[in-house]
Amino acid sequence: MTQEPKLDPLHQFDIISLIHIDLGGIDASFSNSALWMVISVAVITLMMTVGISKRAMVPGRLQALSEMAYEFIANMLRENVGSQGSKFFPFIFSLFMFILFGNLLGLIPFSFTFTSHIFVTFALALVVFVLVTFVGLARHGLHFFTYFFPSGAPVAMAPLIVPIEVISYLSRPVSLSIRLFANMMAGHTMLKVFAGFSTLLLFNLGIGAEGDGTFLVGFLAGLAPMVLNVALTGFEILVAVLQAYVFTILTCIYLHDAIHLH
Amino acid sequence: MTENDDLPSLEALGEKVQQVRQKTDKPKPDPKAPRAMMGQAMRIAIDQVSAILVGFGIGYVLDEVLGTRPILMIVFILFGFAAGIQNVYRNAMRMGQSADKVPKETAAQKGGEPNKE
Repeated sequence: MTQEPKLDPLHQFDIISLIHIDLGGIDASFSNSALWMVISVAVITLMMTVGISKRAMVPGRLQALSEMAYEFIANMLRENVGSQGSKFFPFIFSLFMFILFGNLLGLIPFSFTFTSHIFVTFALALVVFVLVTFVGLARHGLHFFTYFFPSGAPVAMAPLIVPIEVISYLSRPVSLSIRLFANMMAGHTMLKVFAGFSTLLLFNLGIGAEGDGTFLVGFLAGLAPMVLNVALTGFEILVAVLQAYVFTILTCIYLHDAIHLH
Repeated sequence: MTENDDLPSLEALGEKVQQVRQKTDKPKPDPKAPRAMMGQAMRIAIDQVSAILVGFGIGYVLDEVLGTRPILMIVFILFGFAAGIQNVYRNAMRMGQSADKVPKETAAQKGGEPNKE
């Protein structure tokens, strides 16, 4: 008899080290998460280089895709950061494409979604945070710290306003990373839960149940969560694109704040 | 004969195209709106919570260093709460701004005036 299927929706987030690397006691193994990062970078590079290699006047599908991605980010920077934002285009574009492809490739069955781990998203948010702080400091010097105390507020309020502003500033990387990680993790867990329902219903009402003719019942019952899963997959594609967009546009807004101060 | 018949029909065609465009342009924002609102609501919730978390973290570390547990933790959680409210307020203001901006920009584009800041 076949083994009874188990419902284990969190199994997909397990990190498996593929190549063991030990750097002086630090576990720096090449994991499945790292593998999918490499894959997504490779896919992005391939898409962009092959896409624009023809340089056709009338773009083909791949070229149109690359150009759309380029224009999308270029417009986002122009609208949210202003003319000084073009310097940051390479960074913002890489960030957007990396997160977008991490999210989208993670939707392929048996793949791994590296953006569903808070360590990955927090590292990304920290890069953004450090960059934004450096840009602010480089542009305004010590004047940057007036960001934490709005002009016009009474000095007596400083002990209240400054900690609040500092906490508000420090909470940016936290909210950035939690938003992306929570959305991806919740979505993927939901997909696996419904997929698990399918196998459980098929087994318990169909293959594993006593008597003949129950297979059809199990099959039909198992079909219902699968139909829902199809709809959820579509929704997850939307979430994947939306969250990459939100992460990038918030980075743009933070850059704008650092460049213009208020 | 055929040319004379074609000339007025071109204008009629232009009108028709515009009518169709107006029809197809209008219902576009509708399907996206509720999901965008959901996203904004999620963003606000996470902004609020993350500020409290950061406040708690700062207070906890300061308490460990200064040995004044639980006083600073409580104070900084309250600061975090205030910072969260401020995050939410700023986000809401930004949303209102961007909502106002959109019709202005489209109006400028229709008028053919370059909109420079």
